[in-house]
Amino acid sequence: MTRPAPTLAHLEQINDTLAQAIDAAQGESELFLAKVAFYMGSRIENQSLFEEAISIALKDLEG
Amino acid sequence: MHRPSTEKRSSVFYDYKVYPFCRPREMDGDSARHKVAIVGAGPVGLTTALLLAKAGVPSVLIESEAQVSHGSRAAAATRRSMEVIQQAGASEPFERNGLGWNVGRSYFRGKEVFRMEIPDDENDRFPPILNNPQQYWEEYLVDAVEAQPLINLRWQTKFVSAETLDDGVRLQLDTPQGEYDLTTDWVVAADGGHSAVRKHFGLRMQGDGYEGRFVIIDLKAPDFDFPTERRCYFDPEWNPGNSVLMHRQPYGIWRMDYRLPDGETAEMALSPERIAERVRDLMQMVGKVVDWELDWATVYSANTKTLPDYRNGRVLFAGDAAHLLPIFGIRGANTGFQDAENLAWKLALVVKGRVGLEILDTYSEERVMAAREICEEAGKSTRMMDPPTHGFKLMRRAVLSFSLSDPFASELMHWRTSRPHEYLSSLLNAQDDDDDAIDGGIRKGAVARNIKLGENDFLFDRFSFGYHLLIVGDTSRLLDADSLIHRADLQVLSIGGDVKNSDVEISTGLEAFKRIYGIEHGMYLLRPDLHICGRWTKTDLSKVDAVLTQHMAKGTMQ
Repeated sequence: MTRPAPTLAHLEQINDTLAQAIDAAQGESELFLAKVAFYMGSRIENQSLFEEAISIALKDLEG
Repeated sequence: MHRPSTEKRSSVFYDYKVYPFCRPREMDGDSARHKVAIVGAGPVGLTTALLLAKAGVPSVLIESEAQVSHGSRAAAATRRSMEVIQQAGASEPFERNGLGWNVGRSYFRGKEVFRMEIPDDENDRFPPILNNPQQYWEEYLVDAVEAQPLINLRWQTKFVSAETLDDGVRLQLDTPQGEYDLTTDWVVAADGGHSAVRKHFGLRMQGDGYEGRFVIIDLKAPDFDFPTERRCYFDPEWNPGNSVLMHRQPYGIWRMDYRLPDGETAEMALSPERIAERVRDLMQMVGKVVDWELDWATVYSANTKTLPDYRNGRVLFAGDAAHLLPIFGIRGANTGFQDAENLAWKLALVVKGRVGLEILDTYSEERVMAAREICEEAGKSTRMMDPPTHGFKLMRRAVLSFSLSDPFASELMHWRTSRPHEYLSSLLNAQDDDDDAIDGGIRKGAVARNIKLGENDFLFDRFSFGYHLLIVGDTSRLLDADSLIHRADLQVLSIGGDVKNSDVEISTGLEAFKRIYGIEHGMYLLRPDLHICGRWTKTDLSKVDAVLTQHMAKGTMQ
């Protein structure tokens, strides 16, 4: 089953919220992002979705 | 010529005894052959010798040093270890002098962020953990060995090499009076992490080593009056990114472990000035600065490694000679005691000609499997205590950061205390029993549980070192004195029944027994190491005979 694509408004909201939070975390942005990922991962019931997120996020990092 | 130091080790609390070298008969032409030689008189070697003696098997115990070990080292014995030591007949001084505890706390930024309490049931004789510096462990075990005529403890005797014979091993040993050979049917290598026996045979361990190094120090600080519990401090200001452990010992001794900052060498870390600085920082951190004296310090790195096979012909490996496990979770010696117990009963049956040699392969299979499980568990707690990579370091910071406000992940700080392995797939388990049909109780392969029978009176107090058949609630069956069970070093206990010819009758603690063992009628068969190898809902001695026959390798039993 394919999940519905997120709306542009939803993507914008996630993008802005993360960007502002990364700025707020200042020098600890790496720790902040690790905490976000950890928290989200612990709340996702579907473990394969979390692994999919990890896999997608690991791609093209050098870009 | 081997000349170990006979100068007393220095200590601010322990009065070391120097044990003399006694010239053995072999040096004067006696070529007596021995049944079992145990290399290494540390906790595992001493316990193996005591258990063998309990089973009626003599042994020669070879120790290169002239004194017990230096430093608190293992320090914390689990309840299971104490049950093994009780079987070995040496638990009383441990119990009398040790400090028991069952609570562990973890702190971060001055706040308690995780608390773990190990269940402490009134049915257990021993506390979950009992602290005693290792010098005392060894002293108590040596005292028991010296009172045991079946054990010949040879101090100041160093293993040099071994020659494999068709039906035994010839050991070359070095002493203050020169070398001699000792021929034995079996060798137990319990000579520690740097095992000379393991090196001699060129055997290599498999597993991981961790880069982080920890300073371990013993302090005498009687006024440092914190409770007896495990305290872990993550990321203290004086040692950023690292962790610190505190354990109270008897005799006003404190055991402190802390990770070295990156770039600090062992030599720097062990300098008196640096230790004094760290101890002051640690005491200031917990808000109590008192006078103290340093007793012993060393540097330690964590490993999760095991030999792939603990049997090399007629040489059997046990304890740190067989595996190297991290101190987090108190797994080292506590795993070794279980090796000793598993090995001793099987080796005793082999030496007495009751079983074929194959049973020793089950020692290796069961204990290697246990070591691998422990390595897996220990690896998890080690990655929290000593994260090996940037990723693990970052995730530990994330967990600790969460712990201050939303402790959903704090369980990751659990240090996974040493626990007995369950031999669920053991070849020695009953093939035809009611394990699956019994709701609750203790499953086949797990270790038996103690039961309080009365004031200072427990089920395990009634046990010898042999098989035990617990017949529960039976009043009609008679045991045939000529049946197999009476020829297999088997002790029959009648629990809440009236079984004729039983060795022990138990009429108290029946409610606890029913609750913990899950049956009102039937049988539990325990191996000598107290692991359950079968359980049934009815009394049928032919089922027991079948299991014992399976153990005795059909027809070889005498």
